[in-house]
Amino acid sequence: MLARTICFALQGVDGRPVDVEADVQGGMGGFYMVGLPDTAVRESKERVTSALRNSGYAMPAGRVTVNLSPADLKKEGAAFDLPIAVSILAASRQTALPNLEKTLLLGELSLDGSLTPVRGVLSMVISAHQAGIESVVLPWENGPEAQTLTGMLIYPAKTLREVIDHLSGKLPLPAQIQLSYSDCLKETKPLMDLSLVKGQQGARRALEIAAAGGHNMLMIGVPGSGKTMLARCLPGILPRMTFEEACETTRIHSVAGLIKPGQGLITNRPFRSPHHAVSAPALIGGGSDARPGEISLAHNGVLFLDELPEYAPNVLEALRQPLEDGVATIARVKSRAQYLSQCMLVAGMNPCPCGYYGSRVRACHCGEHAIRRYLGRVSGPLLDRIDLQVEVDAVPVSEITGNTEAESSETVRRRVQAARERQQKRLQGTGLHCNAQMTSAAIQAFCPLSAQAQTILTRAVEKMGMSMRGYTRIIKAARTIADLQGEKDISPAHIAEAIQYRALDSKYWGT
Amino acid sequence: MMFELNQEQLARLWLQCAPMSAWSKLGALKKRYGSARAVWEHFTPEHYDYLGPEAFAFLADSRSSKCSMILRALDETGAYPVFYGEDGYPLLLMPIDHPPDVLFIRGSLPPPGGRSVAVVGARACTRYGLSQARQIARGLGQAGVCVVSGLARGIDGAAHQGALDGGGPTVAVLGSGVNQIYPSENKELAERILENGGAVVSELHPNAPPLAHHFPVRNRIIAGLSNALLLIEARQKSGTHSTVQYALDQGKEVFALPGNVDAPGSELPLLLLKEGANLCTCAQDILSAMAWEDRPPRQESFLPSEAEEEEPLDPILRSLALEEKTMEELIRETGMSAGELGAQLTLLEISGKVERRAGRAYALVRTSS
Repeated sequence: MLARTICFALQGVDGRPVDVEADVQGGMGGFYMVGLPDTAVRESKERVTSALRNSGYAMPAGRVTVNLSPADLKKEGAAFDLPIAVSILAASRQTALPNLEKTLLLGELSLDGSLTPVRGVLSMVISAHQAGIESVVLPWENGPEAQTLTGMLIYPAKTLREVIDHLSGKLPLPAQIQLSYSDCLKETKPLMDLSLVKGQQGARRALEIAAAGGHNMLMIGVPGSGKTMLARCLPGILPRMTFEEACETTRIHSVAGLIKPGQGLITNRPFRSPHHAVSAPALIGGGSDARPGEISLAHNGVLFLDELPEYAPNVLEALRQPLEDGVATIARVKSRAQYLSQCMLVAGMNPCPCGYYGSRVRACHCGEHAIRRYLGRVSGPLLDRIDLQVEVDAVPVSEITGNTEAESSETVRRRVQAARERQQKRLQGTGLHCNAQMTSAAIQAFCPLSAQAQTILTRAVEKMGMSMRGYTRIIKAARTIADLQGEKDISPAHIAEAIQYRALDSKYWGT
Repeated sequence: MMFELNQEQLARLWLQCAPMSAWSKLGALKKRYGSARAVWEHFTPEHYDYLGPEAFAFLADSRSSKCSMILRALDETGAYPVFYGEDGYPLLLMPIDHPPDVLFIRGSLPPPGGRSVAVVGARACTRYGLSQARQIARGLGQAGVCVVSGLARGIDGAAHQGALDGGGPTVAVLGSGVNQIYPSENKELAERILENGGAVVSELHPNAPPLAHHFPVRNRIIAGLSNALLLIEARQKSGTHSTVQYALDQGKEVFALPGNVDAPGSELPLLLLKEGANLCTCAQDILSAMAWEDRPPRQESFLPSEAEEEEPLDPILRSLALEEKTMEELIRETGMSAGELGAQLTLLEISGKVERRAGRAYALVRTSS
C-alpha cells in the first residue's frame, strides 16, 4: 500500500517541493530510504521508528520503502521526520488520513514522539503558499515564525499524536491566529538608543547622514572613542523594515538556524559584527551546503567591521562584490545558492597602530612610516565603496558624567525616514532606492551643482589634496545632506559639509 | 668620463673606497709611506695580516683593475670625486676634525662662501616636528640658504622637502654610497633635489650599502657642511645627538626648536636650550642670529597688522585664536550645529585661514613666516 505526503527541501532561501512516498509491502522486514538523503535524513529512520512506537502506533512488520522525490535533489535536515512518519502510518493503514496531499508537514521527531523545531520554516511555508498549498502543520516553537502570513491555515503541534488526530479528523487542532505586520512592529526597539551616546555631535551628524542616504561609513578614532557604540545605534535610526524586508531577513536567519524557538518575524534591522579573525566563507557564505555568511545575515541591516585593517586582505577583497551587487552568490560542487546582501557597511579603525595618533590625552609612538603602512592595509577599491569617512573624538569625562539630554533614536529616525522618502520619490523608475546607490548617470541627472558649489568642490580637491576618487562621493553625500534638510537643490553649504567627511582623502593625514 | 684623475688622485680614491673599518689603519699606512701613491706602489700581500681579509681583498682587487669598478660606478650616475685641498672641495669641510679625503658628489654643491644650515632630527617624529621642519626649511630656502640634511625618513625628509618648496638649494649627505639611495621611499625626493640644483654626497664607495656604523661617522659631514645647525626633534640618546656634538665641536652655531615638555622628541632640543642653544621658532630667527638678513626685516612680520589686532568677527576664528580645538569643542563654544560648523570649517580651510589636523582638530594657519 502506498501513501504520499508533501514536504519542502531548502535550497538557499528557497523551498523546493519534495514528495515523501512510503510503500509498505509484506515479506521480510526492513526499512529502506532512497532519494539522495543526507546523514540527518537517513538517521530519521531510527527516530521515526521509536517515535511511532512511543506514540502508540506500530512500525509495520513488512518491508518499508521511503522515497524522497525528485530523486536528484539533495535533502538535508531533520524536517522530513514528520512527513516520513505520517506517510508510513498512512501506507500501513493504521489510521485513515484524508487530504494528505494538500497539507505541508514539517518537523523533527524526538524519540518520545514530540515535535522539535527546524530551520528554514518561513522559506518553506512561503514556497508552499506559492505552490498552492493551503494548510501547514509545523512544530509548536516554529509557529511564531509564520505568524504574519495570510491566506494559509497554520497548525502548530506539539506531538506526533496531535498531528495524527488532527489529520484523521478525530481531534482537529485550532489554526494559529495570524498577526498583521503592524502588530509585529510594536515590538521593535533599537539595539541601542542614540540618547545614550554622550557628546559626539560630529559623529552623530555623520551617522544620521549615513542612515539617510544608505551610505557606507568608516569611523576613525582613538580606542574608547565610542565607535562601536555609535555603530550599534545605526540600525535604530534606519527606517522601519517593510514587510518584504522583514521576510527577506527572517528567511536568511531561519535558513542559518539563528531564529530562536518561539521567535517571530525579525522586525529589528540586523546588526552583525564579525570578529576580525573571520574567514572569507564565514563572511560571504559557504560550506559544502552553501550556508549564508555574515554579510547576508546583515541583509537590510548593518555589517560592522571593527579594526578594519586587522581583517585579512583576502577577506576584505571578497567583500567587494557582494557589497556592490547586493547579492552573495555561493557556488559549490553540490549546491549553489544566492543570498541577498544589501547591507550598510560600517567600519571602525584606529588612526595608527598604537591607536593614539592625534589624541590629546596620550602621545602616539608611531612613526610616520608605520602609520602610512597601517592605513595602507585598507585597499583603495574598498575605500572607494565607503562614502563617509569620519573621525571620532574621544569624549571628555565631563561630558560622560554630565546630564545633558541627547536626541533619541526615534527623533532621528523620523528625519531619516523623511529624507528617504524624498529620495525614493526622486529616484522613482530608476531601480535605485537611496542616494548611495546612484551611478554616475544618476548623479548627473539628479545632482546639478551651482557654479558656486562647483567652485568650492574644485578648490577643495586642489587645496586639500583631495583625491579625484572622492569627488563623486562628496556629491552623493551632499545630495543626502540636502535631502535631510528638505531642500531641492544642493547648496554650497551642503557641498562644504560633505567635504568634511573625506578624512582619509585629505593630505593632512599621516604626512 | 667627466673627470681626469692623476696617479695620486687615483690612489686616494682607491683608499677612500675601502671599507670604513680599515680607514684608521690605511691612514697610518699613508703616513708611513708619505702619500697615497706610495701606498699603492708599496702594496704587497704582506699587508694582509695588518688590514684583515675584507679590506685587503678589496684593495688588492681594485688595485689590479686600476679602480675600474669604482670609476664605472661613478660614471653610472654621473657622480664625481672632489679631493681635500684641491679645487671643488667644500671650504667649510676643510677645518673639521677628520675631514673626508675624497668626497663623492652627485649634482652640484652650492658655491663656496654660501650660507648653509643643517636641519636634523629623528626618524620617529611627531606631526608637529615634521610640519615645523618643513616650514622653517622653506623659510631658509626662500632666503637662499642651503639646507643640509641626511635624507632619512622623518625630519630629514621634511627638511629637504621644505628647502625645495622654498626654492633653495639643498644637500643630502648619505650613510651609503651615492648610487644607493636609502631609504628607497626617498628616491623620488633625491631625484627632485638633483633636478633643482642640489647635491647628494657621500664619502663611501659609490655602491656601499647603508650599514648602521656608517651613519654616526657621516654625521660629522652634515655638521661640517653647514654654518649652523637646527635641531628639530630627537631623544637624548640618538644618532642626532652625535650630529649636534660634531656641530658644537666644530664651533658651529646651534639652534633648537622648542617642543612640548612631555613629548619624548623634545628631550634633546630642550636640553640644548637649557644649556644655551639659540631658540628657533621660524627661519627668521636663524637669519637674524647669523646676521644673514640682506634686507631690513619686514615690519608686519613682527607687529600684528591692524586687521589682526581687531577681534575676529567669525566665532570659529575667535574660538581658535589661542589654540587648536577639536570639532566637539568648537560645537560647544560656538553653539553651531555639527552640519553648519562642518560647512563653515571647509570654507575657512579652502580660503587658507584654518587647517585641519589629526583627531578632527582645527587650528589657525600662522602667516608670519
